[in-house]
Amino acid sequence: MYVITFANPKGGSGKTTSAILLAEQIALSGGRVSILDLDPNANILAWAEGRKAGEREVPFSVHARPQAEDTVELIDQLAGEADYLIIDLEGSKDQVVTFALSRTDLCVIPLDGSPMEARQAAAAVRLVQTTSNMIRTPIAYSLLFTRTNAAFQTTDERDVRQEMETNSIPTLPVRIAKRAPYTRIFRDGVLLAELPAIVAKEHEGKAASAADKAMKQVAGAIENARDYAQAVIHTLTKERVA
Amino acid sequence: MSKYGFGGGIELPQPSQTPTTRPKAGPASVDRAVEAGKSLGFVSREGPTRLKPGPKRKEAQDKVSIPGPKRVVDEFRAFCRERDITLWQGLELLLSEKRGGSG
Repeated sequence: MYVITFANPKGGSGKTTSAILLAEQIALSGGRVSILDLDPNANILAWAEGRKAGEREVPFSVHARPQAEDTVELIDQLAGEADYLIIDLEGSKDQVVTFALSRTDLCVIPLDGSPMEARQAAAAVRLVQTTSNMIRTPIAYSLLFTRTNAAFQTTDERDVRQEMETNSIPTLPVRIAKRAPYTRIFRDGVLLAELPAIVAKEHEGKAASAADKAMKQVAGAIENARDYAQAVIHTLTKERVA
Repeated sequence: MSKYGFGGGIELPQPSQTPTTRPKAGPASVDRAVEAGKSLGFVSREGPTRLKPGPKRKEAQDKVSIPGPKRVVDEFRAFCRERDITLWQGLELLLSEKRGGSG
């Protein structure tokens, strides 16, 4: 089982959205996925329970946060049910992050490119490196720029990227742009793949140009999610082979 | 190919290509990692699991005030003190002895 953990001590950096986008893409592509929702806000757990209550399919299993000390045992137990375990962590410096990292193959560290989030991302990188040293096992990690502007790169993002390159900090080649379809996942309890049908229905009887624009927005979001998920899988498999 | 490109998924490695699971870190090295993590500020944020001291109230509670002759009250207090039990525990003990004697 591959364990992919999303960590950044700063809240609101895009961990939960990145985690659920990845889970959906892997599940739709035939992979067996489980999510361990270690965020006390339990947004993914609530999303899954909402869908189950509405008798809608949940294409992956979602597990709730155990006591911090039981995290490692739970991760080991889940190896039997999934090929990919995706762990969503809370945005704080909690020791549960260390427990999760001790079983992680790839730690994805989302940040929006602002200096504030970059500093917290650096704290996550230091924890990954320290944990790796202590357990004497390499833990791959990669930064992921999220909630970026799809049209251009801000000066903040450019500045942060420059420092990443100078310090040879690995960064995923794909950014997750800030897009309305991503916020609908949690607002309406939907899967990204369900949005084309939903948007088409919403635009029935409306001007063709408006429907076309909305569909292109959804298509862009799906393409971005797919490219991002593929980049994560490439990084993961490359690191495991190495 | 659909008009908007909705179809398709991503390429996942074949299960046969998945290398064997990497060796798991033992509890001792995980504990070392947790200790090292504390020095970086990653500490436990969970609330204390210890229960508050004092009587554990697992059932409905009520109270009674019993005015009566001082000699009886003093004797009852001494009875409880000698056994290191509270007043309600003393009353419960006497009632259970009565039940045992009559039953």
